[in-house]
Parts: sequence; structure tokens; C-alpha cells
Amino acid sequence: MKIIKPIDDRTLVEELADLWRGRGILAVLIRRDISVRYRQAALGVLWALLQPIVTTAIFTVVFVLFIRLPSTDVPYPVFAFAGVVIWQYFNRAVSDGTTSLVTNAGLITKVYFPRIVIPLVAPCSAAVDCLVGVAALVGIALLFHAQLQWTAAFVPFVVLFVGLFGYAVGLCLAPLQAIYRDIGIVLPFALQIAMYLSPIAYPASVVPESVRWLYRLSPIAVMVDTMRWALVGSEPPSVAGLVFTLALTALLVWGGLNIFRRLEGTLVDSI
Amino acid sequence: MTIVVEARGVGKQYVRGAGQHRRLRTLRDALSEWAGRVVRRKPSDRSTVRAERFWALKDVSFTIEQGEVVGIIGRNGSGKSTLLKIVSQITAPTAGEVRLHGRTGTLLEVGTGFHQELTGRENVFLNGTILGMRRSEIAQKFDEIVAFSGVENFIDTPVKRYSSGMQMRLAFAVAAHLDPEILVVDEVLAVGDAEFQKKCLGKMEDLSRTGRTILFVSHNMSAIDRLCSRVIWIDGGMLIEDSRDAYAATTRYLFGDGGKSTLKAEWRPPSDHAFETEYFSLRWFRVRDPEGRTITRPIRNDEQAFIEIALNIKKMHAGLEFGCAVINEAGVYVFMTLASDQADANWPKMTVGDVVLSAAVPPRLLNEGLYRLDLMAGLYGERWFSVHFSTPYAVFLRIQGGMSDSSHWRNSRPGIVAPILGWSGTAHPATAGVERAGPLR
Repeated sequence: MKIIKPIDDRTLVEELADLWRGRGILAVLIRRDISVRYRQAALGVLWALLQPIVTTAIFTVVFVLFIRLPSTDVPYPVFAFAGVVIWQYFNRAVSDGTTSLVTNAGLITKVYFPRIVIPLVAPCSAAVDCLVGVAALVGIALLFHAQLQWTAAFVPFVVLFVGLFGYAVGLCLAPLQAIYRDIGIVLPFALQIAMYLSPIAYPASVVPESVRWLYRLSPIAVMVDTMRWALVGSEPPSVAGLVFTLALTALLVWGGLNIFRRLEGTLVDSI
Repeated sequence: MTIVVEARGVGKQYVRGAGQHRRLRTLRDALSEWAGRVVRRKPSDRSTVRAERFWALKDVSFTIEQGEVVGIIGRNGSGKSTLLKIVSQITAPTAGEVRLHGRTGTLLEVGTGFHQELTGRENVFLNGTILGMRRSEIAQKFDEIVAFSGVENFIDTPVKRYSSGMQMRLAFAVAAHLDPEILVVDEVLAVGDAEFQKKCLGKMEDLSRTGRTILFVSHNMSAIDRLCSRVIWIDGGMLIEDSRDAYAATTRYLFGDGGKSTLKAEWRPPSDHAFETEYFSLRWFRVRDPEGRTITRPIRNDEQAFIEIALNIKKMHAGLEFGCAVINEAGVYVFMTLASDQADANWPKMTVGDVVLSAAVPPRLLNEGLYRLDLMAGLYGERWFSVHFSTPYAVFLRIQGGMSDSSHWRNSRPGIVAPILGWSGTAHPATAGVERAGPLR
């Protein structure tokens, strides 16, 4: 028996149970997302490769040839590519996750299924592109004779971690975006600023010592550094940063689930 | 019988103006409102754009038993769709609760959950999963679904190239094969051709026969009559009527007398209130069959029916006129007929005393549907005692089936009337003896 009640005084456990119940739909929506993404694109999945490659090439030209950035501990293209792959994954997980409820309005205003699965679709389907990027990263690392480390086995976990963080942010923002479209306007700009402020194209070592602690705590920096450390053995992220990022992720997931729980019942009325 | 749907005091409040409308409510408003609350001052002027709250649905309670087919009727904006949205869990109620015992399948409007870029095949699987079917279940029923939808040839074409009718057919096919214990359907019959509508109704009948419960919103009253064992009538967000006599309820709804009168085939004082003038009193007004029995059941379009007006004439007047106006479900004036329609010499004789006027309704004239016959009575050139649309003296006649003897066109057809014209054919003029009336030559 199912009881439909006004105020959602459901517990987080019930919300997670919903997520589990909706796993079949989640799988279908992820598959849909992936197949739709490249369906009418002439280059198909190659786009997943082309984007980080072109971005890295431009970074290399600008930062190595023009700006003459102090050399990094691994070859610059490998350094930059690792950053770009992680950044692009995070970027898509957050931006697509945030708009997910609105883009799926046609679905959620017509049929019931656990809504909690929707913000999870983008991080999962974008993960496929990210893994393609990671495979390319390994190729580029070998091409530039970077030393692959045994810790490369941790790379899938890094990807999972980035996805989880992106999901948490999307979970918080998606219901808000459904009600206030301001979020969708500000978000691309905010993400762009975050990218410039993060050590994606440049190493944190070029940042003045006085603000470097911020870089050590920044979750994006931590994720990018973890990726570089795991794959090619550059300097590992700080323990403080790692703990902070994990704590922040947990907080955001918890907060996001709560926001979602409060708003999902009447979401349809505001979309 | 087991109860499958229980609604208790269900209400839904919406905010008109601000609130739900994203153009009016911005993050800035929300933030300033919040800031105002924190500082414990009155909210800023901008946020006091008074949000007008209204109940789209208020205190609606009912229980539905297993196997019932419930038609939900009401004008546009009456709250029917809100009710369906709550029952199908799409939006949460503001008050009350709904208990559901069973798997719910929902079909609200066109293209439920279809993704335009995906093919019909992919959408069947997508939609089926969303509606709660397992992949193997869908695969098992796939051929049946496709055959039912009639889009076999386009099943591997992206849905965006489908017509809205094709999308609806596919969507309905999926929902109908979902085997839900409770099927919630909103206005599917608005799209699709007559053929498919018939198929949908048939499928819903099948489902109800196998013990499924159906909640069905439609403006098509003949479909409601045919399909539903029960009617819930909602107006202004409130439950006006919950009746197991679908026919009577839809009639009351259509003829808008607020549920006071019942469908009647005969007007006869003293059980009905008297119609007395200084010239005559009405003894009865009814529709009867050739044997003189009042017709209370629906009749076939080719059945013979007679309009009968029985009077007691107290004082003769040369201008006494009697007849009736026939008005269909849509409120369209189909025709008017008066005892003095023919050449003067053929008018029925009227003398002081009891008189029974009657006229045959031509068979094969009226289309399927419900008709109201308004009594007309008056003095020619002077005044009417009873005139169409304002008269309380009205009886009803329902036409159902018997549309044609042809093997091709037996269903109800579009149009206000449905006459069968005597078509004839001639062979090529040069080779056959052309039968033509003289003056044309």
C-alpha cells in the first residue's frame, strides 16, 4: 500500500530506498542520455576525445610557448590533460545535474518515478566520457614518456569521487534551479571562474605562498591533484585537503538529499 | 470487494500570481523575503506582491473498489487533472491523503515521457521501465504493444518524426499493456482517429473486465457512459457528485441543472409539476415507441420513435401552437418541429377536450448521442408559454447504435445528424440508358 501525503516527512533512509527502487529507471535514463548525446553527431563518441585534446593543445600553446610557465614535474601536456579530463567531468556533472529536473520536466510532470534518480543521471552518463578521456590520458602519458605508477589502479576511484562530488552539488542545485532559474544563469559563469581559480592549466606552485592554503583545501584542486598523483606520481594532495573534500562531499550529499526531500513533492508545481 | 483507492479530504492549494510562476518569483525575492524574516522586519515591498492562494481541489473524498471504471468529469479548470496528478503521485496534495493499493500506471496527455530523439522501439523500453515494467516483461509484450499501436513501420524511426497521433497511440499501447492494477488516464481520446479511440475504449473495457481499476478523465460523455460504472463529477475543486449511474450523472452534468432533475423520458403531472394556461393543460409530454410505450432506454438510430404531446384544451384559440426543439449534447439546436409545419389543410385537429398530438421522428436522422427535447407551446404571433432553452418541460432521448446496415460504416460518425442518403450509381452515360427526370433533358 502506498500513502500519498502532503508534507514529505520521509526519512533519508526512505529517500535512499527510493533511489534503490529507481535503479532500473536510472539505468535506462543513463543509457538514453548516452545514446542521445552522440546520436546525430557526425563524429559521435570522438567528441569525448576531441574536447580535452583540443583544450590541452591550446593550454600547451598558451602556457608553455607564450607564457613560459615554470616546468611541471611531469610533461606539461600530461599534466594539463589530467586536469582537463577531471575538470570537464566535474563541470558536466554539475551543470547537467543542476538543470536535470528542468530538462526532464516533460517526464516528471507526466509520470511518477522516484525523482531522486534524476540528478544522478548526468554524473553517471558523463562518467563514460570521462573514462574515454582517462584512456586517452594513459595514451598521452605513454607518448610523453611519463612514468605510470602502480597507483593508477586508484584512477577509477578518483573518477567515482569526482562524480560523487558533482552529484552532491547537482543534488543541491537541481530543485532550486527548478524553482529559481537564476541558478542556471549564474552557474556557467561561476564554473568558469572556478576553473580559472583552480590548478587545471597551471600548477599550484605558481600561486603566491600566502593563498596556497586555499589551493590545498579546494576540492577541485584536491581532485585534480589526486588524479595526477595516482596516474603519473606527481605531488600528492594534502591530507587536510583530502579530509576537507571528503567531509564537504558528505555534507553536500546529506544537504542535497534534504533539500530534495523537502521540495520533491511540489516540484512539479513550480517547474 | 477490496478497496484500491482511498482519498480522504484531499486538497491542493496553488498560488496564483507569484509563487509558482518563475517570472515573478526570483531568487532575489526569495532572498529578500528570507532576509526580512531574519531581521524580523516586514518583508520588502517587492516580495509583498500578494500571493493569491486558491484551492484547485478541496476536501475531496471517495473510495474506489477493485474493478471499477471511474469517469471523472467536470469543466476545464475544475480540478479533475489536479486530482489525477495527486492520485498518480506526480504532485503532492496540500491536505488530506490518498491510499493506493496496487501498481499505478499513468497516462496523462500526449507523449508521456517519450524522448524525441529516440526511436519508437527505444521509447517503448524507456517508457515501460519508467512505468514500472521489467525489461523482460516489456520484451515479452513488445510485439503486442507495437501491433496495438499500429506504428509497426516506424518503430525504428525517432519519435520526433511521428505525428502527435502516432505518439499518443504508442504511449497508450505501452500504458495499456503495462498491466497496472490501477490505470489513470487523462483525455487520451482527444487525439487519434475514431478507429483508434474505439480501440482504446475496447482495451480499457478489457482491462476492467480483468479486474483492473481505471480512473478516466474525458470530455467525451458517450465514452464515459459506455465505459464507466461510476462517475465522479468535480466542479470548482469540489466533488459535486459521486454516482454509480453514469448515464444519469453525465446527463445532469451536460444539461447543467446542478444535479437536481433526473433523466426523464416523460413529463407527466401530477408527479411532475403541472403546466397550466388559460387555454390548455399539459397531460403529458414524452417520447414513445410505435407500441405506445415510453422510451426510457437508448434506442438505435433506425428505430421508430414518436414525440407525443397530450393536452387538455380548455379554450380554443386559432393560434395554438405545439411542438418541440431538439438539442444535442453540445447544446446545438438540431431542429425544431411544430404541429403546424405542414400545409394548413393537414394541421392536426384541435378541439376543446383531450387531444394527443404525435409525430414520428424519422429513423436514420439523429446521430448517436443524447438529445433533449424542449416542449414548445404558444399562441402564433402572440406569445410562447414554453420555449426551447428556457422551458422546464423537457424530455430526453438517447440514440445508440444502428447507424447503418452497411458492412462498412456501422460506427457513430461525425456530424450533427446522420442520415443515410439513397446513393445511386449509373454506368457511363454513353453506354447505358440514363434515367433522368424529364425537365433536365
